[in-house]
Amino acid sequence: MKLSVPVLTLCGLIATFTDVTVAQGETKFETAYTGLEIAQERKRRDTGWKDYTANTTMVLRNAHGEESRRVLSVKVLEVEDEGDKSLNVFSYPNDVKGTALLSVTYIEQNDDQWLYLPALKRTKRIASANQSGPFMGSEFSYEDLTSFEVAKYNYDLIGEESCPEVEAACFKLQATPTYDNSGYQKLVIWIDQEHYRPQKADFYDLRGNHLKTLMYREYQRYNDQFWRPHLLVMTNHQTGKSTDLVTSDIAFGNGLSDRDFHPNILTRLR
Amino acid sequence: MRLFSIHMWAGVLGAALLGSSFCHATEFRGELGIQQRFFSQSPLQSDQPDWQTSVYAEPEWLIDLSGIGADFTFRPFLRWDSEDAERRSADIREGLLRWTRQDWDLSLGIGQVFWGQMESINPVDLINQRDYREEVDGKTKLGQPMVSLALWQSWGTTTFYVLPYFRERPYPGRDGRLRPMLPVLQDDPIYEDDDEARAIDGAVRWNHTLGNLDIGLSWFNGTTREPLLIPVIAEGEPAGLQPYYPLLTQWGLDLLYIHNAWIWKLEAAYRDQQDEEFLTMVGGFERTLHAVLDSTADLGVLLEYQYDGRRNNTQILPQNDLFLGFRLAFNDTSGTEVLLGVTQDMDDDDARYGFIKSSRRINEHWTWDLKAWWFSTDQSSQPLYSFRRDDFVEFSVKYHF
Repeated sequence: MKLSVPVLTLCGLIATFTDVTVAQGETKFETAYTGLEIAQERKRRDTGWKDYTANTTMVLRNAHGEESRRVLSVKVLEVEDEGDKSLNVFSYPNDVKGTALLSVTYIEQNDDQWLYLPALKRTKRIASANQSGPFMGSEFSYEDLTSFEVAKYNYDLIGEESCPEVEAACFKLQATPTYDNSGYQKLVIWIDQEHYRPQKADFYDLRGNHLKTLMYREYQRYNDQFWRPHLLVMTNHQTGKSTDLVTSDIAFGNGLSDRDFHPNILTRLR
Repeated sequence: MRLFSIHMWAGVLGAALLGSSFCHATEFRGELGIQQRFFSQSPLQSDQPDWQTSVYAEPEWLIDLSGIGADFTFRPFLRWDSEDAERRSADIREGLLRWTRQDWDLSLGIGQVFWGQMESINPVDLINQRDYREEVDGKTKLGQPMVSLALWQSWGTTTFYVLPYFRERPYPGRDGRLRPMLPVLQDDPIYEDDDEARAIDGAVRWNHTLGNLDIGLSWFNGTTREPLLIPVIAEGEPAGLQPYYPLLTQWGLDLLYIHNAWIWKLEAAYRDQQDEEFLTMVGGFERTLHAVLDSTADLGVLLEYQYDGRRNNTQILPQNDLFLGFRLAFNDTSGTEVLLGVTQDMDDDDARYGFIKSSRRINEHWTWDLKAWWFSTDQSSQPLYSFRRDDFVEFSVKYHF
């Protein structure tokens, strides 16, 4: 069977992989391909899109069901064999309107990040090592939202089973972060065998406890090639909070370049 | 200054109206706020208040002028204060027409510019006048008339500024707190430049990012934004402090180097004014501790050393001082943040001042913030001496639209 793997970079947002522990005495799943090959195929199928823009709404829900919203626009530039670059500009809530976050991400070293504060016209370079910190108070952390790069994890294929929500067969992959400062011990990811799209991911904290589950829903295909989920639902099992991340107006091929992701570009925003 | 304001208002409003006739999209945003200050000690002078209530509005229009390939930002600011007439004020923080192209940006009008990297004070930053009526630390700045051209090159961005009108530094008035003991004669400044406020100042800045290093080099020539305050005697009595604005040439350097959770920063300004050449600088670091106490909060620890070469000038606050700060960001849905800072004079154990600034989102339109400042010195030679009874707490509620 031919391997292929899409990536899910949503907005600088990302995605996935995952986990699954091999219980003691259980034999490792035997197939003709490895977890790494599945991850590589996923990446191969989602390479070459160059850039995209989108609008994102996050709906944050606490344990009592109370909601608050975050709205941002997103620009992403694909960087082959390295992390992507992204520019997020917030438009809601109103007190952060115009605030922008520029991220130049890397596989191994810490990402470069600049925050733009519109009232002061000030661009601040910020320490990015907090991969596990919450993004805008949501259940997504920064590391959940950076691009999927094969080298960021070690992989084990731990099973093949029906996908959680769609009628398809899935690979069940355990991914162990290789980069510093991850908030996760491991992820377990379900990837469908037809298009190599992540369908579900379970996140385990550094103590090995099940922390969060991410569901990937409402996939649409762009340019006959690149699949993007329009709804991501992240549920935190330890706090009862959840965040829906809704993406709309995805547009590929905007001719963006490195210049559009230079820190000085922030002073051009308004 | 008032005349200038009226002219600029008329000009900018006219441009806005003209512009709106062929604009495609207008975005309207901004904030309104109400602020209450309480001073915990009785004032030095009996006509100064203990309580001070204030309201302000800062709307902003963003107008797309596709007809001329530009955009226009208009951001006026209005404040009313219950006690201090000087805080009943209006300013145009921004009224800027801007053309943005692949390799250059051209801006025309009233703008805001920030240079620098430090948290405590920014000696390099001098395009805009600081508004000491707003905040005792002068972080809020007046709009500056300017023409600026930024050129983008692979070796960095170079920005040229022509600054055709000077803005005088505003201070709280006679009926306010947080002012020098003698009133500042704000309407009667003296300039070294014969053209006074109409002199044209110029500046250039080059900045670049090289891996982990952000670097800026700047040059300024014109009238200093930082006046000397000269006591004036009338009929044998001290009548007030007259601002004197000498000419200044400044060379500036700002640097930031980041390594993991460590950020090292430096701002240095070499100044030439009144036949004196001196260095003023701030250097230090910010170290961020993530997920403190097993929470999702980040704690930033800041240490900044402040130096000024004018050792015999008693009007300069940061001469040989150390700033220690703690920034706690809770990373919660309400965006709760607390910044605590203390600045200690290294030449005088008893002279220090400090602040707490905290803010939190109430809901998606409202936020509140709470600030407290305290000042401590026994030495009448200390610039802090006039503030020694002005410890205060300030609570604001803001509506964002």
